[in-house]
Amino acid sequence: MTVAGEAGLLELMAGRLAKDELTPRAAELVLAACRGDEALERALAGVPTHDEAPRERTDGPGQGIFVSEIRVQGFRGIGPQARLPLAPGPGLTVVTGRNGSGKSSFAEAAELAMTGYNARWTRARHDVWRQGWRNLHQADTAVELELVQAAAPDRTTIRRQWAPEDDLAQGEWTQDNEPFDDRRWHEALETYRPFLPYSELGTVLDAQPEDLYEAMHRLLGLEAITEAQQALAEHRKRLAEIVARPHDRRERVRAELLASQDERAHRAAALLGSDSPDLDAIADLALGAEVGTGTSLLHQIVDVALPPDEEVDRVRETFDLALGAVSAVATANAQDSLRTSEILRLAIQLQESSRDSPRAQTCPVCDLGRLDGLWLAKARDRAEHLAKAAAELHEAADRLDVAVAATRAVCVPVPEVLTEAQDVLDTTAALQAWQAWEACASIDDPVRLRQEVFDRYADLIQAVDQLKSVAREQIDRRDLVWRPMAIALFEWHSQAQQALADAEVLADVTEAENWIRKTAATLRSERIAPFAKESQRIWQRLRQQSNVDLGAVRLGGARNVELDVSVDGVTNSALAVMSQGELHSLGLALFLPRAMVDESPFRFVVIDDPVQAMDPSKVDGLAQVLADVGLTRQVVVFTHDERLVEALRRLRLPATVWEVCRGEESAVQVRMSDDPVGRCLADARAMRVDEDLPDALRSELVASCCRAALEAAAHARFRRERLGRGVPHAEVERELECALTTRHKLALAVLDDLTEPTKLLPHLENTVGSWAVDLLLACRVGGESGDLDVLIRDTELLAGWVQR
Amino acid sequence: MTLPSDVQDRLTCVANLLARPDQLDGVRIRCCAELLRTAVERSVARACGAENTDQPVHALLISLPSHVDTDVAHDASQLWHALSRAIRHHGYELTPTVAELTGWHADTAAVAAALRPSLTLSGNIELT
Repeated sequence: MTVAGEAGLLELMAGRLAKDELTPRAAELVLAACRGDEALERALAGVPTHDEAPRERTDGPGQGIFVSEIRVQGFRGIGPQARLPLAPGPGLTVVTGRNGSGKSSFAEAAELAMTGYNARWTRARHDVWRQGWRNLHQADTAVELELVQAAAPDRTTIRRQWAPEDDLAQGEWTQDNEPFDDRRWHEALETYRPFLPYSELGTVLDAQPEDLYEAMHRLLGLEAITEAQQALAEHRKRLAEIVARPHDRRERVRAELLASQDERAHRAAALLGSDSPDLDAIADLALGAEVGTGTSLLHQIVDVALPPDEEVDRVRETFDLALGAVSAVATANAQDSLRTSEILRLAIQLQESSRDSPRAQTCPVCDLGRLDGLWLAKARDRAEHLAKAAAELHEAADRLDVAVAATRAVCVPVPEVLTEAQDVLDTTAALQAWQAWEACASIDDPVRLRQEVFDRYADLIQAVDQLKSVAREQIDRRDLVWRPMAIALFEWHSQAQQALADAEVLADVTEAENWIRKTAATLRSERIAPFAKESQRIWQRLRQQSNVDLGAVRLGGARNVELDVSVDGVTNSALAVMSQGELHSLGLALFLPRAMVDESPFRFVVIDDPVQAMDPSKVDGLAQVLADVGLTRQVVVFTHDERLVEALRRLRLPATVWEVCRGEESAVQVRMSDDPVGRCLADARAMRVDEDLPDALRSELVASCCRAALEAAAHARFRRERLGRGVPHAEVERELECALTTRHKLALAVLDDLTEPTKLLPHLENTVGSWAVDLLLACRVGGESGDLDVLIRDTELLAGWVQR
Repeated sequence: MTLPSDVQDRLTCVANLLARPDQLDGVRIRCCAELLRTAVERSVARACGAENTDQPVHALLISLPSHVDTDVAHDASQLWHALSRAIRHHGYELTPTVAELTGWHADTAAVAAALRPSLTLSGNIELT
């Protein structure tokens, strides 16, 4: 069974992309995501991609790895160093041993040496479980795994050694005396997992569905797709956040703005309130470009201009001069002299017009004086003098008029802002002062004007200054409130701009992600199909008489492996209906295909105690499955249950069997285990030559071994025939239990009938020969065994005949 | 009060073998188990008064409680089955450990002794 590697991912994706309609940008993103993070970043940034090789996978541990030996010292049940030699090639090896004999120690040691991990020891929660890993009789602890690799002439030894004070997690870890680089192995070990320890068998299905899922995923070469998908998803999330951020924050910012008194805040809130806020206007607002009235009224007040002091000073000077000049000439006499000059001018005119008339000589005013030539000269002088004075007065009056006009001109009308700003600010004082100042313009009397205007000006200056400082204070206060809001607004603005820019990218990334997810799902179901089939095939073999049927195996969306399990044809997704033995079988059915993938660098599988909780018929199925796997893989099975060995022998499946015995002081021996008949005969021969046994007892023991050999042969033959005919295991075992003596058992095997043991001897006499009958008599309890060598030889012959 | 010689011989032989644990390989362990088992068988047969008959041990063990104390009969039966399993007359049992063997040796001595005194006691009663 093989799966597509990851190198072809890019081509595969490109091929699939061509078939689907996707925006060019999204398609580019898909390919970039498959190339790796950097390429994706570049694609998102809009940098054109150039064709580059997809990322390289790190070095694996090698290829075609077999185990050639497991060596253990001072670990769990094993004291002095014990070696478990294994043939480094395909084939099934079964290691048997009683509970506590140390066989599981080998299995766990192998796993620890290679993975640094064993569920029983590293996952243990309680100290009791964590402390017992050392052997009581041997303080130096070391586990070694000797490996043979294809295309590597030398063997590799992975060794883990602990000093007496070390913790399990510590210790020295080496490969051929170099520090062991477990990262190089880690990925392959996780993906193909050649170890199935006892404690995990039952949990393949339930405890960590995610682990199985992850492993299956890697196995199917889907990891890279998942990574690409994850990378896209991360970017999608990041972008979505950026795009959503202004939207989410908008209401918050707006509420904040609304709560404020500030005019600008209200405007900003109004802008934010629209569905697609005017970003430029918001930027203007935040950056302080003036809009609106509220604050600007205050600013206008601050900017209110009064006539400059110099001008007022100048006006005052002119005014004073003019007024001084007027008051200098405008005495009471001045009026009189003006009038007098007027009278004189009229008198002169009169005198001139009536020069010839005698009456004209008399003064019309007093009627006494005479207006003669002398008078005329004097009058003319006087009139001239008086006219000059009057002219001076006139001139001064004119200048005063000009000064008054200038002064009035200074009294500018009240600026409108003072009225407008009444809502914002108390402007009454300034307003009144100004009105008073403006009113000066309508004062006619220059002297009063002079009295009032400059006083009022002083008042005005004071009032306006005061108003301005109040306004400034208000501006400052408002700015203090506004500034953070402006910053927030500006920040929002930047985010909104970013969001606007990213929204487009987001659409493409989302499209790319959706596509890749869909494609991953398709690929998943396509690629898992052969696995599911293999699992089903194994399950078919294992299940035997179970009424549970395994249907499809799927990688579900929720990161677990979904199994279609049906009981008596009724679909039942719950594994709860299955027995423990069935669960173990199912676990094995899922575990084995994974460990057998061609891509795996490991050509071995180590299974600890798969027989547990299986009924005899399942053990038969297991033996077949293991032997099948053994055709192409090195399968090492540890079990305390000899039913597996028995089944392998009965089904005549090739297997090497090692037996582990634990002696005094945890000295563990490993020895090749024969079939039961061979073992009995070997025992008989060994006892035959044992000098330490008394003769009488020796004969008895050898005879007993011979009986055992014959019985074992009978058992094997009977089981094979009956089970071969489809008789259930339980029934076969029940019949065997009924046969208590050697003759009964032989009768069962040879005649296939328990009820007639008396027919056995004649039958043997006829078909085999009289020696067989003699043999049975010789080796019965209390019998005369005669020559022990003959006895053993004949037993071997008869056992061979029985098993034929 | 001694045990019958055939039983005693077996116990002695096993004790000798056990005294040299370094030489106790699988074969010897099974030898010991087999010897202990036959010692139990002979004691049981004697207690049932069925020496030199062809009766299967299973049958003798079933009738044993009618001859001796129930507990003793139960112990004897347990021990015999354990020893039978130990010498793998059944297909899927594995070599016993030395510790087990030592335990069985003591058990066998005790069971053989327990099976014997009841006879002696009844004899004594008859004599008085």
